[in-house]
Amino acid sequence: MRGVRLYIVVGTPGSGKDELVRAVRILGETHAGVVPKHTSRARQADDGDEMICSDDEGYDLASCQITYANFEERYGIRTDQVWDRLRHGVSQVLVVSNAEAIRELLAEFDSFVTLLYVHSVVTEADFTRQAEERGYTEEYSRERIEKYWDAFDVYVRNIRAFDHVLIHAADNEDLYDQIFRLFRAYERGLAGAG
Amino acid sequence: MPPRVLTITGPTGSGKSELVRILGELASDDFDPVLVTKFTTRPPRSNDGPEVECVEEIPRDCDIAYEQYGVRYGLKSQTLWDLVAAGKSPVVIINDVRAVEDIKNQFAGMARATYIFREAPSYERLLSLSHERGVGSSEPGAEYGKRHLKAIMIHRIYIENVQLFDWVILNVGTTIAQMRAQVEQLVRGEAPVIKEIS
Repeated sequence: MRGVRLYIVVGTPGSGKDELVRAVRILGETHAGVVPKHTSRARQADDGDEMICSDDEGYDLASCQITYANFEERYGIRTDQVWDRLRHGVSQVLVVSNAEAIRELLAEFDSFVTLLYVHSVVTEADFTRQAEERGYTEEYSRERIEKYWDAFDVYVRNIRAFDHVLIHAADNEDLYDQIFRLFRAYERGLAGAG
Repeated sequence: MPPRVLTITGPTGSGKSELVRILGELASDDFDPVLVTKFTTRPPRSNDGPEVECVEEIPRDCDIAYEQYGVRYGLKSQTLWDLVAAGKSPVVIINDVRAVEDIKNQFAGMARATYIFREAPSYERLLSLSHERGVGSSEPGAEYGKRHLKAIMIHRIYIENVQLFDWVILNVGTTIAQMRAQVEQLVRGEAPVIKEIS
């Protein structure tokens, strides 16, 4: 079981968490799988396979052992499935930024957890551009900016809880590089001992 | 437990001096930080503090030595051991990954490698910093381009050695209070528990 981890990824909106998870799905399946999240909202154009939305086959929020609210929608995680994969020696990556859900995950998976914070350099202009690209309303976009600073505040106030920080300063590839280096370090026993 | 040995890595303008200042303010009975003198073969700068000693050659007894951009740096691990033995917490500013590894290997669980992040400074900011610090000529030119490149390269050190760093201080243009809050938690060794979002 050495090196088998549940990587919980916390990050600000627009930090590149979704791209990171997709990179893990596409490039990193020999290192880790991605824990899907069930959500009460309908599928959006930029959702990947890591989201199981209310209009998707397999949607089963009721079976999720951990649930939380975000932007007035419900999200859920099947911890039984996470345990099943960990028992089979498969590391998992899970994106979640809700403090209560993180606490529940830490309580349940304890020493299996590696908590990562993704920090990105995002300006208000970036949020505006993203809102235009993704068709977000002005109100939703404003909420995302507030969430950005809330998430940063979570990091500031909980810095000791995070095992590593992934910094998304320029290219997405640099962000992917960091998580793949961490995967290898844990697999080789070069990280996590302390 | 507060750290016994602290390394700080970060590019020009990332806030290393501010971090050192905050560490000094957080000194207590069980955390007494001392900035360790590093030898360097680069020319002296007007703002050099006691942590840098410019020399023609790195002293032979510097067992932690490295070279960057044609400049040699060195420090004595014995100095760190002596400070630890005296109950101090040596703080070393160091931008070489092998040197950070050396210190972590020597001091094992006692050492904390810290990376301080601030968005890579623009050419204009580097120019302004260089003026403030009395570095280089007063005209923009290749020298500033080189320093900009160096800042980016130091950030690459982090990307390529993310597993090496125990702590990251995010100095991201918010308030000094937020930077201080990060340093305070790290130094005081509070239990790692996720707290409520305010």
